[in-house]
Amino acid sequence: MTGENKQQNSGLLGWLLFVVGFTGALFVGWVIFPQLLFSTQYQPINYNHVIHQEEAGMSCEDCHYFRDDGTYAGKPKLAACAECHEEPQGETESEAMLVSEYVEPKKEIPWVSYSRQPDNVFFSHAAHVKMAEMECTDCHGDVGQQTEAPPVKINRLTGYPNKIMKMYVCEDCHAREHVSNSCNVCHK
Amino acid sequence: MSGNKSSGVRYGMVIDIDKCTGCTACSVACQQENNVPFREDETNKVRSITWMEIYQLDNGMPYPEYRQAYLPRLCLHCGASPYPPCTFVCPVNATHRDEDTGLVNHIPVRCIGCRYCISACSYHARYFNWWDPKWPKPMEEMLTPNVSPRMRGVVEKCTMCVHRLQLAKDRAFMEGRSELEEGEYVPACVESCPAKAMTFGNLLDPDSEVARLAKSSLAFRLLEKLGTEPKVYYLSSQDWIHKLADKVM
Amino acid sequence: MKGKDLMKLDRRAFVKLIAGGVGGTLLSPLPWKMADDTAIWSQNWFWRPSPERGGATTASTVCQLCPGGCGVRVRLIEEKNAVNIDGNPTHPVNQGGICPLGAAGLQYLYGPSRIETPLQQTGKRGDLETMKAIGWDEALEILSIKLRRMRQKARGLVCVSGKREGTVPELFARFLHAYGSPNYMVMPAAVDAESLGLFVSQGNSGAIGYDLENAKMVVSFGSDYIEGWGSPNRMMMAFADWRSNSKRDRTKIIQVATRGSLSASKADEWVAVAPGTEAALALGLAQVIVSEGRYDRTFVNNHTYGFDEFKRLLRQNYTPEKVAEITGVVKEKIVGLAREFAGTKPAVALSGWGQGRMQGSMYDFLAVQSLNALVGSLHKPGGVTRRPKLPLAPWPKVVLDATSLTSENEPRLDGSRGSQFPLPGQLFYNFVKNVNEGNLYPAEMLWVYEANPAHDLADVQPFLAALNKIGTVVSFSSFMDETTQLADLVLPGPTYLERLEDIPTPPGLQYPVFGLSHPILSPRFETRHPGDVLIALAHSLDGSVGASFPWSDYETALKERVKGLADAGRGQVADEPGLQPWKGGQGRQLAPNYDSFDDLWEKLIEHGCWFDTSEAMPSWASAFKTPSGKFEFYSQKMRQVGIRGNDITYLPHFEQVEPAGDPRDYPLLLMPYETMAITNGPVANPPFMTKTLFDFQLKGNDSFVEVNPNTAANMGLKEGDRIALQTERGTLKVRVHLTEAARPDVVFIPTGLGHSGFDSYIKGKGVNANMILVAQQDQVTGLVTWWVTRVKISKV
Repeated sequence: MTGENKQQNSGLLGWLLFVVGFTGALFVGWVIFPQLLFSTQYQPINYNHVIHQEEAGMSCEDCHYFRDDGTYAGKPKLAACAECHEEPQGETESEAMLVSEYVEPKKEIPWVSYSRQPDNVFFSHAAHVKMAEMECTDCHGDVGQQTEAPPVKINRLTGYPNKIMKMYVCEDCHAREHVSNSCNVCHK
Repeated sequence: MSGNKSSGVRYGMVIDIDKCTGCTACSVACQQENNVPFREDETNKVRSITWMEIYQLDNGMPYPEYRQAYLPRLCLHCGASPYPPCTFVCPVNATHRDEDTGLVNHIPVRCIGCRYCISACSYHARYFNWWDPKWPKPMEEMLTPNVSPRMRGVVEKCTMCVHRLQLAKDRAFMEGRSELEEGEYVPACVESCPAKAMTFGNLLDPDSEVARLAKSSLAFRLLEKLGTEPKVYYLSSQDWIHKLADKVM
Repeated sequence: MKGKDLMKLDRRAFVKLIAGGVGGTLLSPLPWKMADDTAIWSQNWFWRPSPERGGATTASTVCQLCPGGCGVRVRLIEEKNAVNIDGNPTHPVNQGGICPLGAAGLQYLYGPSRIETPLQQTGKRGDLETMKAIGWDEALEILSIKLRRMRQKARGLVCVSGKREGTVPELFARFLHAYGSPNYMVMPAAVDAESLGLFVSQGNSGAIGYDLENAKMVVSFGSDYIEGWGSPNRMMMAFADWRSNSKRDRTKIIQVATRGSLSASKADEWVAVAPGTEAALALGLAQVIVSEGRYDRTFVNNHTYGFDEFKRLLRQNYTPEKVAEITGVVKEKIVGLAREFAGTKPAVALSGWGQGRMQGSMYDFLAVQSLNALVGSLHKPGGVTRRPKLPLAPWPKVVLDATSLTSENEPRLDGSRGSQFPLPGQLFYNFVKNVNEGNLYPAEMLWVYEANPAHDLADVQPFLAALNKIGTVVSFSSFMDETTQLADLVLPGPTYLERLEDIPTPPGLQYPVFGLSHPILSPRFETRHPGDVLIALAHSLDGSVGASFPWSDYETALKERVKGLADAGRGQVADEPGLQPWKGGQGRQLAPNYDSFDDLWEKLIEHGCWFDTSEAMPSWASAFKTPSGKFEFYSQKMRQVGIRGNDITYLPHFEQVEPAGDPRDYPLLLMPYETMAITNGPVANPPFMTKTLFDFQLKGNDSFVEVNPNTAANMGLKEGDRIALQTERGTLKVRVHLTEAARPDVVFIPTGLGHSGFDSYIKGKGVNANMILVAQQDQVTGLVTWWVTRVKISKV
């Protein structure tokens, strides 16, 4: 074996290792890291939006509505559920759980929010929906078409759900629409 | 002068020192409204946080010519152009004047606690959190969700209850209005005042009570000579109070 | 060998692996996401509480932290977290304003010094370690057994209530009556002097009402009119109104007082008088008005009795020269002030020292009241009148058995209506004295409701001594106050935001108001409404006591009384902002805005109060229930009840009270002062209010006394020096604040600090002035004055 050969061999190995390291890191970064970063939480009840609209004839506003003072009640209270679900409305496991664990002991259902902003953020639904006439789906997607409640991915580091809107998104849109980007428009 | 003329809004306040009874309700109402933390010993006034701080003034005369008066001092939301002293020095853009309203805001989560703004403010209106806030156990339940609590190492100050502006706008939006009427947005201190010594509103609206009072011959501002153009005016018929207003606080 | 070479991982290959890893990482989201998330994480501040979010609602109720009776609104999140209290704009008393105490109310609801269950003292009194938590059944059983055992000594049951009016104090009084004790008492207050004064000069026992909003001139004799006197918010509002009027018809305010307080500073004129001589100045003004013939002739000639005797006394003792000598006010000022008072219509004079929260002299009240009489300001708009009674329905008569019947003739332990003090006064101080001296009969048991005498009583040490001679002490307090610490049994009540209770007209108001406080939150702890406790306790006793409480619970009892309002056919529930019941005068008919009792009740819960202006002020011809049917300068009532003395005894006069202590040993005078920033009520200062104190009022745990710079210089004292204040009662260590507000040779000490109870936010802060003040008893009425004591100061 000459030293030259040795070098060639080792060079080949080196590049192989480079590719291993490169793809490995890509794999870690793109596949493993997101799985590690986000914890998965499931809704306490596997809520079906479609069935409530189609079979119960409910509209979005029955549960997601503006309060009289202009603030937005995003998640319905147990009382709203209990109006119909005093007794189980069917045979499913979720249904039985709803009645026995929440309706009967009068315990609020701990829904997990997909888009809960931190407490220093003031987001006005009224400004966006009433004044700017935006559609709910513009930000939240077409939730109404969901037949089951998707799991919520929560960032382990920040504690925020993965679908949360970030500040640059707010700023970009405000800038495009010539709306003030002053700090205290959105922060409290 | 701050305030975007085109927005037509520049919020300001007038405090009638002659009517002020020194009860300190404004200061307490402010603390409750804004989740201002408190500690067992608050007597080190350099480190105690009181967005609305009360000063005792006196005419310097001997008994019984002596007279005293209380002067409530909040953030004066300086209108100096192009910047108020505090926002000009902030290295991280954590404080800024909203030119649509004239309100000087400070966003604690962005603050790095360098305290440059504190030294820039001529009115001692800014406060540093020397400690993490702590509420004795059940008292966390009285924290209002409208203002987020701060932490050790950041600066805070009066926001003119800007969250009340946000909420007032929400109410107006529900009615399809984008403009607020006078009195729809009032800070907690003004609302609390039992002697109705405080008036708040749009200084650019010539019909507003606050604009009328700010033009009164009894009106003055603190340390006017500095050119900070405060948007908080005071009223008094007493010459000695006017004179004190130009002294270093 | 080849294979081995191939597999050989040399340094270069390793570097390539790392480089590949780094390259791959940089092209993945990992570093960027981590950097971003770490930044967000650093703003999370997870160790600090994040307030609960949700829908906000508002509930109206009535504040009970002082007798002021203000309407408040409480903001609730998700109907469970109370996050804010502000003034209720529809409530006529405070019109949306709120005082610092009211604004800090949630610090009581969520306060760390709340009592969570009934407590029983199992060891030595005052030892908190041996206070044992017990259940309600056990607590009531303990008390019930004790009461049954001491029934033969029923008169030994004493109750002291800090609340003077309302159905709960009435239930306490009723319980004592049915049980067989004459010893229902209330905490001393300026009202004690007022009611005796009204009784002897006008022959009735109603409460006094000042029509201040309509006055053109107000002369306050020692009343800190914007610092807590009367209903504090109402006074501050009235003050702002006086100041709002155009220069020409602006109400003129004169403050007669010793200290340069805010009330003095904000007045148009401050007349600085020697300590405790305000009443002398009032009589000086009266003398000028009478001698110059500036009095209201119609009133004086037709509706007064004993004017000549009064005139003679004034001429003898209260000429401007003599009054100048007593008060230190120059003669010209006295004459000028008198002329202005007589020449301004309507003008009114106020009395009640400081905040009016402790007793005062009946004669001081009479002196000031005689001024109001002379200028015809009695029962006239802008003057002073008798507040109409609330048309509440009466409860059925108390059922009496042999024990309670005999006790109706028992002497009261406070000596009121007795041979020494025949007037129908509330003489709590005399009760303390009698217990300490072992007079009359032993006090077997003391109940304390809405009061904290172990801290708040001016000159508190005799009371602390008396407690040792009282068999059992029962506290109904919601908080671990000083009195409750010394209790043997604690039956904690819910706080005002958790309980139903009526709040009748606040002190000094000219029109009747009925406030209703209701639970805006369910009780946080194992507390029970004192009304319910009394009813349960009565039912546990045999015979007539139980029969005197024919209600299942407090709510039923309260509603029974409120039915009277519904049946009165007048008055309204205050349901719109800006109501000004004083405008247009009293006697304006108000048609009810409710159609049944249920409707009224519902509206009271929703809005907070009922008020009425229908009853006009009484006419001069009908106002006075004295033997002469007139306003009596010379009181025949006093003669009737058996008070012996010379002519002066029956006339308004100034009693020069010599402050306690030998002037040679105690060369200076000590006067307490009260401020809005320190509460003096049964609750201690909340953290928010303590924070607003200046660092020359409280620094660390040291409180300050105010001393005039000249006095200080003479004694070699500088700002901030530590001194010992010594009176006959004892010594307190304080620091010195130099101010020209203080009269030379008088030391001013704030009241309300120096708590040893409550929580770590107030405990041990400053000293309790009441520990060294000496109260002095008037030998005719039994009432005390307490605001001047001799003192010695020495540097420590």
